[in-house]
This record gives sequence, structure tokens and C-alpha cells, in this order.
Amino acid sequence: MEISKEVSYFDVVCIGGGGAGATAAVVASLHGCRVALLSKEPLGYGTTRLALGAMATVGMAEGDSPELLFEEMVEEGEHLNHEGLAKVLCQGAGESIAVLENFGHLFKRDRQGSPIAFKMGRHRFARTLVSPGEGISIGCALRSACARSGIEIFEETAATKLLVEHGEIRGVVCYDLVAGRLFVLETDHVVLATGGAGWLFFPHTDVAKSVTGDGYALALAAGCELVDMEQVIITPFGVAPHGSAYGFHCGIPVTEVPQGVLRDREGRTLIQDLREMNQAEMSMRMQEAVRRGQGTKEGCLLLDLSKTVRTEEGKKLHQVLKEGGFLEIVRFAQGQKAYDWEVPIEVSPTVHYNIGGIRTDENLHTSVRGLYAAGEVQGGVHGLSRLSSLALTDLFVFGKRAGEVIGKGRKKANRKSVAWNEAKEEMEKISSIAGRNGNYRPIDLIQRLQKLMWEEVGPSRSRTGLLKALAAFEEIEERSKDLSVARVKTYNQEVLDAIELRSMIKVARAIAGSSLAREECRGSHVRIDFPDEQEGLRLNSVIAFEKHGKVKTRMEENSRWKAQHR
Amino acid sequence: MMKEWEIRILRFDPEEDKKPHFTSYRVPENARATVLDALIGIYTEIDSGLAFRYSCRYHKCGLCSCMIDGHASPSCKVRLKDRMEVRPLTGLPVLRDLVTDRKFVFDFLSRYEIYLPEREDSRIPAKLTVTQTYHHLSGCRECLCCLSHCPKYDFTAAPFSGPYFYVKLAQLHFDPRDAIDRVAQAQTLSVSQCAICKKCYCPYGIKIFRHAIQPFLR
Repeated sequence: MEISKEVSYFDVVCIGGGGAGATAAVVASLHGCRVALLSKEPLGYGTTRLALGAMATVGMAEGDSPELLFEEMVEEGEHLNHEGLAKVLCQGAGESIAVLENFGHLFKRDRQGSPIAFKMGRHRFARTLVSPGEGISIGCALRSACARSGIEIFEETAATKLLVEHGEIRGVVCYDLVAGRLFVLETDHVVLATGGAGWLFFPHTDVAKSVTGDGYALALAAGCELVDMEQVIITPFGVAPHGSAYGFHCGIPVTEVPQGVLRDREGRTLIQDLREMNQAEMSMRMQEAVRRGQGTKEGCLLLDLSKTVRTEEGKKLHQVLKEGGFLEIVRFAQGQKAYDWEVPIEVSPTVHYNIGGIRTDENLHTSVRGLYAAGEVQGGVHGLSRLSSLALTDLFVFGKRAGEVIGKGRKKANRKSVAWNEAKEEMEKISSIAGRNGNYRPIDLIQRLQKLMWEEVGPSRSRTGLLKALAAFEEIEERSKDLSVARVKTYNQEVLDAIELRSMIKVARAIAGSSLAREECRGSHVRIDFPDEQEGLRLNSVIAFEKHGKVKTRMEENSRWKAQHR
Repeated sequence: MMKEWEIRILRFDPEEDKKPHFTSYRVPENARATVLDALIGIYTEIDSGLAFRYSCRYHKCGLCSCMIDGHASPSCKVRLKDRMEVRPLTGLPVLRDLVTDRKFVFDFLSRYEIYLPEREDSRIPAKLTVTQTYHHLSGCRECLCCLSHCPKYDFTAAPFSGPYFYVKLAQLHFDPRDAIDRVAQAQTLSVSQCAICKKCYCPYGIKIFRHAIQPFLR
């Protein structure tokens, strides 16, 4: 592997090639910054590209306003939303559509040519626009906008370490997967926009392969705090048994009231009325049923829609889903009869979104000077649960804000050199991975971690299970010092696996540790040993941080909200 | 004993190999599996030295494209069979094993300004008529299989740019906001060479000739 001695300087380095990172990069570049954009996949891929393309805005329906959206967000988030950030999101939601359309995207329009807004999920107004090409055309628009802006693009390149000195950001150590090259970018602004951590739960997730929680791990190591990492949105109806296509939604929209009856493998009713239960509880019950041995051979349950499709309303829903192409995956994985809802669809809960994340102020600034976070990796905006179709809005509002805050606040280039020794040490560490001749392949350790995350830190959590997982993470970390890795230079996926494994262990600890700290069921977090909400924990957030290389947690009361809601 | 199928994969490491060579793997017989499932299975269970690219796992990202029994397709879209042969996309620069270099795609977008020009007025235009053709073309996954299907395309041969790039130009040509002469641009990029061939193919069903070549022919 090659260690580059050449160091280039950029005003801003954005890490993450999805909606938030690309938007921050484009906007900062419009403000005259010299910008580098790192994307672990080709630019414009990742989970933004996998989105269904539903994006909430404000002001489409009469009577709607940012203030009303804010009220709904706070209600949904159980008053644990960061007030300033949530307000920024609501104020920016109207404009975010224009930001994305200006990149080259187009939302669906009616015959007269006006954008159409739908009422989705628990939104009280019709606010959601849909993308005819789903997330794909959004991903393409991101690529176009970056090509237009003249940003320096580093595709298939991972950030392995943030270089911080005296509490301020100085640079980033990068690994170019294609060339097998390590290099340093010097900068005084970094935007973390790496998305969530769904891949820690693979195959029980609908996210892209690159979503390994890198930003959380980089932030923890740099001294930042994470807020409410236990809050992971797990939706009940992922299409299940099908090799790599596991975990995608089976068309029963997560955003709508679920229909049908949930059965075990013998056909016995598990949940009769899906409408009466929230998705966190439903996912917990499903995992519990599988633990009791009621799951199918593949560890799934059966979503029976045969009665639904015989009702007028159900027939209509089926038609809409078919026309939208949302049931294609069911046909692909389970055949025509399941597609027609004549036989039950085999389903398993699936990890969809990380609500928790890096703690920032309303300018997206972390506790490290010059370090920002935007998009899913950032935490606290949505409190304990997110309204549907606000995830895309979040990317474009906060991506733009990060770019603007940096662009407007930037004084003339203030280049300070990185501590070369620290950078060199990191590069030598990564460089030594290729060709190691130990006992464990990175992918085996990753799979072991993923299994633990799903079984013990997934939909149904308990103290016993979480402690078991935390102990096992220690063992995985120990084994990760004894890796066996191919020596090849070009596109060495095993080296990337090893880098990702290091992040994943840290993030797994943050999620499991935060889950252990919150001894109650609240929001998207379910503890079977504490089946109720604890009044004393209302308005409390779990804060995760790193001390002497260990991930720790503490509870913190949101005093501002407490004063308002007494 | 579990029945097994054979899959042959063309391997190439620029550091070690003078030329590509086939390696044969045995994978569990499974008619419901996809070729991508088999590749992931080989990587996780047998040989993590194998290089291939994938991301979304189901029909969306286009990154897992390969030549499968001589036919370019995203490997997540093809069911596994016994004795299949998998190679990297033809006509594209190979980095290692099944991974081709995609950098030229982005460079091309920048160099030929294949994007909507920055607009001063960035409000949403209240009324905008968007045609079915535009929506049809926006289904392009950028899987690059069309480049391998094209009898003429070769990444070393400029200025002929290949079907993928004409699709990108056509997306803009049918965008009601784009005011640049994309016909002239396509002409510069030798679209006229495509007038009689009509062999373009898209695994996602985009009618490339009709919607992305014909509109540019004079």
C-alpha cells in the first residue's frame, strides 16, 4: 500500500457522498470555498439513492406553516428534539425542494404542471412531494450538481481519522480503495455527512452497504458527543428470505397504517389488528415470536393480506402499490402469489434509520472547532421518533446550512499544518493491514458483530442481552488485532472491511451502551425488562462519549423543555 | 449432502497477473439465488480476495453489473444457474477481477457540462410540463451495461461516447428547464454513428434508441 507524502489543502472537506454531504459541498463551493468531497462509494450512491423519494416540505396545503410542522415534529419526537435544530428544519423545509430541483431533480407534477403534495403517515397536512425516479434521480442530481460546481471529488475513498489539535480540526486521513493509497487532506472545516449505521444490522436493514456508522466513530474519536444512539427506527415489514435482497420494505408502506394480520409459521394469529400497535412494539413482538420458535425456517413471520385484498379499500391499496412498483420485490423474492397477496408475505423487521447521532448546535457545529455534522449522522433533530418523509428534507436543509455557515463564516485561509506524526502513525497502521497473516478475516468478525447487533441490540433489548453483546464486542476487538487480509493493492475490499470493522465496534458500543442506559421503553427503543415508560426519564437524553478509548454514557435532562412542559 | 453448482469468475490483479484467468468456485445449489448472492457468498465463505462492487443489493444502484454468460447485467437481477461464467463489463477499463473503473463517468459529466446550468432564480417554477419520456429516461441506474452491449463502444476510442452518455444528454434534452442545444452536443459526440445500428439494450427497459438517440439524429 502506498503512503502519500503529498498533502493538499482545502477550505472544506465534506465526508459522505449522499444528499447532505453533496449539498454542503456544493453550497460551500458557491460561497467561494475550495471544497473536497469524499465518498466511500461512487458519488451520489449510498442510502440517498435507495430512498423511495418522498420528501416533506411546508406550504403546499392551505393553513400549513413551519410552526405547525414544528409542533407535529415535537409531538412525534416526545419533546426530546433539539429545539433550535428542529426550527431550522421546519423553516428550511419549503426551500429544500428548490435546492434539490436546482441540482437538476424534478418532483412529480400534476397535469397543470404544479408539484403534487400527498398527506403521508402522521403528517396533518399534505406536505410530501414524490420523486418519479425514486432516489435514483436524486442521486443523479447530486452527481450533476457536483460536476457543475467544480468540487474536488474523491470517489471510493474513506476517511479513517480526523486530525484534531487543541480542540480544532486540522485534517483528515483518507484511504483510496481503488488505488490502495493513503493520503492526508489539510483543512479547517470538516462536514461529517456519513449517514446512519444500518449496516451494523445487516441483513436486517434496507440501507446501502457503505452505511457502517463511520461518522459516529470519527466524531467519538475526535471528542464529540452522541445523543440518543439507542433510538433506531426498525420497521416491521422487510421482505425477508432472499439472499442479498433481504430487508427491503415489502410495499406495505411504513408511512401508512399497516393492513393485514400477522401470523406465525403455523398460521396462528400473532397480531390481529396491526393498526393498534406502533412499529417499535410490533418489531419487538416479531423478534420475540421468532425467539420462541414461531418463525419460519428463515426466521421470518407471515403477513397475511388475503382478507385485505378482498375489501374495496384493500384492493385499492394493492393497486396503488403495484402501480408504484413497490411490490416488485415481493414478486422477485417470493413469487406471483405473494405479489397478488393470495398467500402471505414472509417478513422480518428491518433497520431503517438512526435517529440518534452527533450532537451539534443549531449551526451544526460540534464541540470540536471546525467540525460539523449534517444529515442522518447528526442527532437530536427528530427527538425520539421521526415523522415520515422528513429524512430527505433533513439532508437538504442541513446540508445547505452547513455549507452556508462555513461559507459565510470563513475568514481567509488559515492553514495550519497537521501534526504529521499523528497522521503518519494512522497511515502506517492502515497500511500494515494488507497482507496480515493472522487468524481472523475481517468479514467473519463483521458478520459476528452484525448477528449480535440484531439479536441483542435490535427490536427487543434486555439488560442480559446488551451485556452479552458488549462483552462479545470486547472479544471481537481483541480478535481484530489478529487479522488475516489479502495483500493486493488495488480495490482491496478486505482492508476497507478492517477499517469499517474498527468503526462498527465503536458504534455498536455506543448503541448498546445507550440502550443499556435507557431503562425503559421510549420512542423507538424497546426494553423487554422495562416494559413501560419511566416518568423520571421523560425529557432525558442518553449521551455517549469516549474517554480513554472507552465508550461511556450518561443521562442528561433536557432542561429547556422541562421548564416549558412542567 | 448439499448439492453444489459451479461458477467461473474471470480474475485479474494488475500487480500480479499478465492476463486474466478463470477461477472456479462451488456454491450451494439455489435456483432462487441471484448471481450477486453467489458473489457475496464466495466473498464471505470462500475467498475474500475476490474483488467485485455492489451497494444496494436490489435493482437500484447499478454498481454490481458484470458480464454474465456473455450478457451485461446487474448481477442482482440475474438468477443463479449451474456453470455460469462471470466477467467484468466489456469495453470498460478493468481495475481488478470484476471491478471496472467508473471514474471516467464523472469526468465525462464535468468535461462536457452534462448538467442543468445553475439558475439565478431558484424558486420552484409553479408550472412545468414534464413529459413521459423524461420520466422514462430518469429511470437510468447508471449501471453502464448499455456501454458493454454497444457494439461500438470502447472507452479508449474518443469521441464516440456511447449510449449511457446519450441517455444523460437526453435527460437534459427533455428537461423543460434546460436551454442548451443538446442535439448539437450529441452530434459533436458522434451520435450519428448510431443511426442504423439500433443494437442498444438497457437491462432496466429504457428504450435507448427511441428516446436517447433518435431525437439527436439529423
